[in-house]
Amino acid sequence: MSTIDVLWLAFLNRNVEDAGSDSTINLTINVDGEDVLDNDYGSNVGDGEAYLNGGNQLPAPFDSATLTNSSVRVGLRDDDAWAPGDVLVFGHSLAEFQTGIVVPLAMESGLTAFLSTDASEGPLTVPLRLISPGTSNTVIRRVLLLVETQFSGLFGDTGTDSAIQLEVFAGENLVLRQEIDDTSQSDLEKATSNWYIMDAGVPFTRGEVQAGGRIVLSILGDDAWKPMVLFIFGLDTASGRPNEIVSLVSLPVWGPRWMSKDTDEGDPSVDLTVTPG
Amino acid sequence: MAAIGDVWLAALTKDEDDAGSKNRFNLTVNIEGTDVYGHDFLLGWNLPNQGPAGLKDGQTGLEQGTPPAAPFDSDKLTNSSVRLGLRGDDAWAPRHVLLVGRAEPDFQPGRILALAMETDIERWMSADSEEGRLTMPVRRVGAGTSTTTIRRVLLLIYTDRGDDIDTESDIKLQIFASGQLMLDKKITHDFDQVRAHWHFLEVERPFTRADVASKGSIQLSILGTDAWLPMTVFVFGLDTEEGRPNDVVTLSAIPKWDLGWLSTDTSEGEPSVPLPISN
Repeated sequence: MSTIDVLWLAFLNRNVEDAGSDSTINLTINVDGEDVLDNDYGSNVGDGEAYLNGGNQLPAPFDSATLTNSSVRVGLRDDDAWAPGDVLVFGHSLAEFQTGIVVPLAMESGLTAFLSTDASEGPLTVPLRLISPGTSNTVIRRVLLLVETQFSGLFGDTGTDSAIQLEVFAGENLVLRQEIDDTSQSDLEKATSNWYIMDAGVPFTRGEVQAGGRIVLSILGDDAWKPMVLFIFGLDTASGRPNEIVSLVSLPVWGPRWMSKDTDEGDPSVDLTVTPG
Repeated sequence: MAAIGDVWLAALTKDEDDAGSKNRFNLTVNIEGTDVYGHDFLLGWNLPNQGPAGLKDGQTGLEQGTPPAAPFDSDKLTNSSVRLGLRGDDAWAPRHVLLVGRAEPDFQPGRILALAMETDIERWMSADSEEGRLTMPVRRVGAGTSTTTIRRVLLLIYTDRGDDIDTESDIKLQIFASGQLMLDKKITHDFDQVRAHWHFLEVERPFTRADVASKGSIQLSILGTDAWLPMTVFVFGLDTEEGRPNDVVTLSAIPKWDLGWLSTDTSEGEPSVPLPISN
């Protein structure tokens, strides 16, 4: 059981024509006939692009153990049809979050429908089935990196054209090394979210990372970058929809640090704090 | 287990300014994460060539949806399974909503049963977030049993389109149970074509469906000579005197009327007909 009082919505649009939408997205979470959440998200995300938003305290916390596979639905409030490919809902308890516990709640992958208020274009809403948060012993075969780059404001040019790299060490073994550069998404642009799925070269567990391993995020160039929000999850399946999603890193607030190979501008690499438990 | 192979949606709109809507009503039924049913209901008023477009304030809709692709098990429904949404920004203020299903023939007793219901709804619905909710849950209700105590009756009637099938005559519903008159209600409004009506009716004293089956009957009568041919008549017994019921007992269900014309002019029809009592 986890009392959820902060919620996040992340999705990756299908990379097909007109998949993106500027219509408002609606998320509902129902527990035993009562909507414990009915939230709108103004996304305006294009074809093949990603979205990540949340972090605000919910007016009414809910117990994740009371959710069923019929509890969570996502819908669209206008007729600019939207075609998400993958959608993830996760949350955490503010009280528990000091320990870095993030709870994946529901996920769909490989969606094919266009959502719209126009019945000729597609369904109004679709269900998002529950996923298990897994344990430190869940075998992880893929890794999902969700990152939002700082919007500009006082920070100037927060985006980067430099590649970044994620490395995961389980104990002393390197089990994943993935360079991210020039994907189909708008990579690491300011005020932009990204959804990156990576295959683990060797399946691993969070427990193995905690036992002498580490997770390292590096930038491979000198175009300085300032992330704002970053989450890393481990998925138990090699493809398709996962059954379990394990929280590996949770940084709803990245902090003041910039990243750059030019050490006058930032850190070339950062050891990320691994989710305990 | 009841394998539901047909679905009706009934809804009564609040009788206040702008409560009506011209948008379609989107119903989803989800079991264990899979949408086993989805349909956009017109609820009668937007049917091509049938009546004026648009749901008016205070109006009722009653419509049979297209059948589900495969029958679904009503026992697997939860309070989170059924949601009703609006496919546009012409805001709608529902007052009561009822989802009715028809089980496959092997299910006994009672082939038609209430699945989910909300009453005295306060929220407005709209695709425009400033006007209301996009979707709302409709919690499930029990079908009750022959011994469920009935404290109120819900009468749903739909009159279709046809040659002079509507009526301006009053009608009356009577329910006799255990030899006593338990309900005797006259309804005095017109029954226009392509119009549905929703009536909560108070009972003289509580009764059960078994009481009706035993030395009882359900009589639908017309009180004038303007002949009437209804299309759909549902009579449900509710276990609560007011508010949302827990159990909704099917007393009589005639999705497609086959009991002939009603009129006090016996050259045109029968002044009164007994309705079949559900099992």
